[in-house]
Amino acid sequence: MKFWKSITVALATSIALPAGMAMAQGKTSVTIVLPAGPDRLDPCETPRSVIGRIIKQNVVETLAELDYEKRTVLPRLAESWEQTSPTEWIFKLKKGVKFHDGAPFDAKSVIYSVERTVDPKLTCITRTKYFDGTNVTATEVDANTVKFTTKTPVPILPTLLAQMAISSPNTPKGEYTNKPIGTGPYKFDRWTQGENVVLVRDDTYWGAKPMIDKATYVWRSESSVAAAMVETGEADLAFTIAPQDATNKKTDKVYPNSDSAMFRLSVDVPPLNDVRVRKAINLAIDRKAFLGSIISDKAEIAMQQVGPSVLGFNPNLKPWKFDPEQAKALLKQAKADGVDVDREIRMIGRPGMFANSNEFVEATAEMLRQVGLKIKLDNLEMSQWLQMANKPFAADRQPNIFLTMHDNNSGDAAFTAFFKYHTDGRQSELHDPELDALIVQAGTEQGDKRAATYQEVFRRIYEDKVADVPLFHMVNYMRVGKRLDFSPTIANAVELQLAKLALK
Amino acid sequence: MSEQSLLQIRNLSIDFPSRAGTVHAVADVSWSVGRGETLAILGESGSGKSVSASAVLDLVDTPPAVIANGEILYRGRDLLKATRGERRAINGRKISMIFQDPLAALNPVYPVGWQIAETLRVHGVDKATAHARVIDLLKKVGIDDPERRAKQYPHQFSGGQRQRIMIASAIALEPELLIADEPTSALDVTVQAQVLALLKELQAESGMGIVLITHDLAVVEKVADRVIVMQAGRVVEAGTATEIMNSPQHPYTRRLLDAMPGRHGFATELSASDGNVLLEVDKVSRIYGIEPGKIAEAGPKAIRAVDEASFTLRGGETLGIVGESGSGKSTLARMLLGLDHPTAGTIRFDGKDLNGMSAADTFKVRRRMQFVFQDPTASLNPRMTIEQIVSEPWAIHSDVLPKREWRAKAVDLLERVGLKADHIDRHPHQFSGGQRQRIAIARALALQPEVIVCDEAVSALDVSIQAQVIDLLKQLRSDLGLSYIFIAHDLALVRDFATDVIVMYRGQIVEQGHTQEVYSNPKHDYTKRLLIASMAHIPKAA
Amino acid sequence: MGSFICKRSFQSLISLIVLVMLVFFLARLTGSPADLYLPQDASAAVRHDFNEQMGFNDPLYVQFVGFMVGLLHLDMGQSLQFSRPALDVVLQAFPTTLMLAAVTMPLVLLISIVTGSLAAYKPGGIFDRLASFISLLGAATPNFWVAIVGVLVFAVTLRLLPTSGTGTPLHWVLPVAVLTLRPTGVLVQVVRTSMMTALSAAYIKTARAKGVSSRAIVFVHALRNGLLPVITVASDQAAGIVNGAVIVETVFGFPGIGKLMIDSVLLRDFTVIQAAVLVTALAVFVINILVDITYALVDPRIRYN
Repeated sequence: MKFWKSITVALATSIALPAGMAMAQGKTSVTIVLPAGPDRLDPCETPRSVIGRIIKQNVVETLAELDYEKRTVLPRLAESWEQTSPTEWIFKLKKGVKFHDGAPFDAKSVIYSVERTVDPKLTCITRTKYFDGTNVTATEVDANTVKFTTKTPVPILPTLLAQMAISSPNTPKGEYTNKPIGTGPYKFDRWTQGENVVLVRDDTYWGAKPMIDKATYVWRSESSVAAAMVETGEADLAFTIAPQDATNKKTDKVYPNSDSAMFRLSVDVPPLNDVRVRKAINLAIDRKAFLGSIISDKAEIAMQQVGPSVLGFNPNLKPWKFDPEQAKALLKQAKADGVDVDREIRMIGRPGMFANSNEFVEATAEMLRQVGLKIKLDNLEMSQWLQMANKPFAADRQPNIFLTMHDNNSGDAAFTAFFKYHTDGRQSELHDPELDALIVQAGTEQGDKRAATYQEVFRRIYEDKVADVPLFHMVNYMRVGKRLDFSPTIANAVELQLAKLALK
Repeated sequence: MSEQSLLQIRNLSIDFPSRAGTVHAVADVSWSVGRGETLAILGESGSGKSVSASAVLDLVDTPPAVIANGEILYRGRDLLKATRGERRAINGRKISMIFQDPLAALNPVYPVGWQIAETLRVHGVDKATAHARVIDLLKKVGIDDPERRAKQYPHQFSGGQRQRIMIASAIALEPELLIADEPTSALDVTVQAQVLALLKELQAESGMGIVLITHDLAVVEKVADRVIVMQAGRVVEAGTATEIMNSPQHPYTRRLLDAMPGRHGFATELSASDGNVLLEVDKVSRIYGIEPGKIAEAGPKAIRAVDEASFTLRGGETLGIVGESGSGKSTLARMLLGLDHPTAGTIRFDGKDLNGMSAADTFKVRRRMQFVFQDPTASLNPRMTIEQIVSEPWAIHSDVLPKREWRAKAVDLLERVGLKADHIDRHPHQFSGGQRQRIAIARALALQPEVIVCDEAVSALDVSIQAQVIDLLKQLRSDLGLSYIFIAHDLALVRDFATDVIVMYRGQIVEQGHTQEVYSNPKHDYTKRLLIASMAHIPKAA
Repeated sequence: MGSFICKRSFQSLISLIVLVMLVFFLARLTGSPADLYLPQDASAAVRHDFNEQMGFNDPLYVQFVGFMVGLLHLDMGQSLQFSRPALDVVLQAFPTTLMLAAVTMPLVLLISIVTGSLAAYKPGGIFDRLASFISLLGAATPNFWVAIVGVLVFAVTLRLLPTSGTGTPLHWVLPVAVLTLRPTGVLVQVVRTSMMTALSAAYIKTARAKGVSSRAIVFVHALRNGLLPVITVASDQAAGIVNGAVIVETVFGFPGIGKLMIDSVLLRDFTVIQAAVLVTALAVFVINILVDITYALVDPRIRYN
């Protein structure tokens, strides 16, 4: 008996210790919980959202910034720019800006950053995704003016430069750094591996002083725990939580995450090589039924691979009606012409591609079966899925309905059109020379003309060719704690500017 | 019953619930024991002798047992009405108990000194005093070098020494009464005598009473003052030792005395062997701890389990091999079985060397030489029916009997060994120990062998059952003309049954010859000692 | 004893090397990291450069020799994910998992030994029922569910404990509690059975005849004899936790080796996978050797000479 008494007392004492478990924070510090931690913090890797959402525009800044609403490019570290020739651009830099280590922000430092970025010894996404093949070089015109030269014309150089983070000229070339030094409103304080990253406000910042003086980033891969942290006050913001955890209308806000889900169709392989069959597939899927059930009701039905924030997005395309009768009729027609509509078609998903994606493909497969198609459903793990996604494609493959998720948050359709639809595109199953020509042409144009041509590309793909089955422009849920006043936008797919967070 | 009695059991009844209804393990039992007195409780297994004694020390688990009736009066006070704490205070201090198998009864993971001291510590003696007392006790019970030995563990002692250690632990606080439950049954005969002598000595010194539970009449004869005989939970006879041994009244007591081996004549009425040598063991040795083939270089560390043993078995003979633990008889048995190979020497069956035979030949030999083992529970597969067990030899040697005849022949064998035909579909656990051994014998007969090797085949059985099984073996011997090799540690048993005898001591054969000769005129010193120790109760005349 | 440890260590070393070699080859069979690291629209040239840099273009045996040479210098290569030495990454994550195991196992042993012994002492009694209940609970409830429910109940609703993360001792309460469930469930039954055998031994009767108290009979006489199978199973459970209390680490955000291994496998970070396997296997081997030594300490009949 005595034994049990002492145990009870010990337990009670240890629980009665500070029950208020909010992390010790100052009035103007915040804690942000991310779904995953960064694997490195090198400024060259900023376009990767897992890194960018910590440092982009917080620690390091770019010369130009994307305006996701208006689909244009705004000045940031560069005041203005002009294209002096198809392969030459002049950028005028802001004056009086310093890096966190005291080095001056000037033409020399910009040139250094460019060289560091395009150096093949450093594998970084800014180079491989945006600048590969541009052969861009930067030269000094004067202390605050830089001339960019490319080998072939790059009409969207400012858009590309919106991805290049400028870091201090003291950052070593050819190797990764884990202490990013930039010009942003926050200094990098420390990164405790596996635990957190801390940023503190830099009071010598060139721009407006933000309210928050310290931000601690932690990560939890379990969404319900992240949501719980905000609920208990351990964190002030949960970057993204699963739809089923977003139960509190007051704190849980929706934002488009620039991901677009789509089924790619094997247009070379019968019976998918018959446009009637492809139309039938589009007609047979009841997209609206998913909204509000297993897909967020704030998601938008898609008509093309890119979202509304991308230059080239075609706002005039109309969504498919849900018409299974017509689908059946089309299939009957095709069958009468000898098309083998009874051939088994392989639907391929990937577990965890998005929340409830497993349920989604199961439901869709069933919808297709309802109109008489034979569907075999497979879920492939990332590595195998990648093998199917990219060329080379097996010549004797089954006809595929291939679930993909594409995120173009770079502001321009160029990052989608070629590799998804050009004959030589790595993930393209199409062989249309006219389309190819259009895609190439759009790539050389600028401004409204460029937009118009890309819009035509997407129109053709959607209306004429019916090359794929566009599904949804996806959304994320962010839980914003009661200390903060913030409404997320599509920009938050890749960044979270602390300066935009207001403390109540 | 003197009014000075220390412990008095009055009308004690203990019941155990079982599937077949209530078992009256102890039914209306009364006995008593006084200071300086030795009471023997004589009975076979199932008689209730252990249970009634265990109840004194609160060692009977209630539940499931129920003490239905009775009193246990210690110095006039009924222990059954005392609290658990009070009884615990008596255990070890006023009344002690020692048990049958000292290896199992001592905790293997604690040093023996610690275990003896525990008795003292539990009853309030401090550590330092306890330690000193332990050394004294070890000296008293005859353990040499007590300081060093106290730190050793039970498995580092011999059987006799372990029982001495148990005794030391039991007498540590000079109890008034010592209950000894079959203290010598697991020991060699020569050691038995020493342990009993020690008990008597301690009794003379301290005046404690002793209750000795046993099934062995020889023990009763040596040490008891008074005896009670129990059968099936009841006391059937009580009296002084002399009365019981010489003029038993109750039929059961008489049966027990009759069943004691060695009380009948020698087995000389058998005809001498008809000559042909079946088994020839020629200078067989089994040495451990040497390089194979390098016997001559065997150093002092080599263990000679069997040392140049030679004997022959002829048709019609029954050869008894007698020895205590460490004599090498078990090793020899293993070599006969083919489980082990001699390091030197040969074993020849019907002229052929067992060692060098091909597999096919060995297979054939096995048919002619069969075995019955000591533990009938372990040697029968509990999952097989009797039919399967008895017919297994025909399954292995498939050319002996066609399958359709198996069942009939199995029934035949069962009846021959004294069981019934309808036993054939039962399982071993449904039979008693003696019946199981009969089944094992039936199995051994299945292949109609010429030789049956019995390795301590009746040692695990009660006295009266032993007698029955020996009778069966004798019957089979005359009916079927079998030869036996009968390995045992009990000289009395062998005297009854064997025509020739071999005595083994420390790996060597120290004496061999016809039974009558060896028993009447033992030549070797060890044989003499063995005879004295085990046969004191047998009148010298044949 | 010293030579015994040396011999066992040597045997373990060989197993270790074979294991790491196996992992080396098996991991590379699973797919190219390039696809997982580079953006999907990276050009072929970029891909080639990446593989060149990482050495994935070299034939397998060349890669292997390089690996073995590096192993001799305890250099297991750079982590693809973290661009730091893989061994450093692993050694940083390992102590957390080790701590989890080190805190959990004593608790498991304490609960299971006490409950199991008392259950064996009185079969059908209250402790026996408790033991059965714990075992069922441990076997039937999925870790991740218990973990999340624990967070919801104790952190969110009752506000008694923090939701997740490391830091204060209170942060360890929920994770350890969740981790304790299954091993305790298994071990309670092992203790119970083992103790029942021990309690029916002859020396227990002797102890009772000497007047030893029930508590001493259970915990002094019977327990030490019943410990051997318990030690075996407990070491198995401990190795399991060391190998990665993945779910607990994931839910509670503990930067341990379990989560690291899973992530590395998904990302095909070969060097980290190899280093993690090496470190964990080493820990398991050490546990095994310690178990052997413990056997000899507990039962004086076991001696390795």
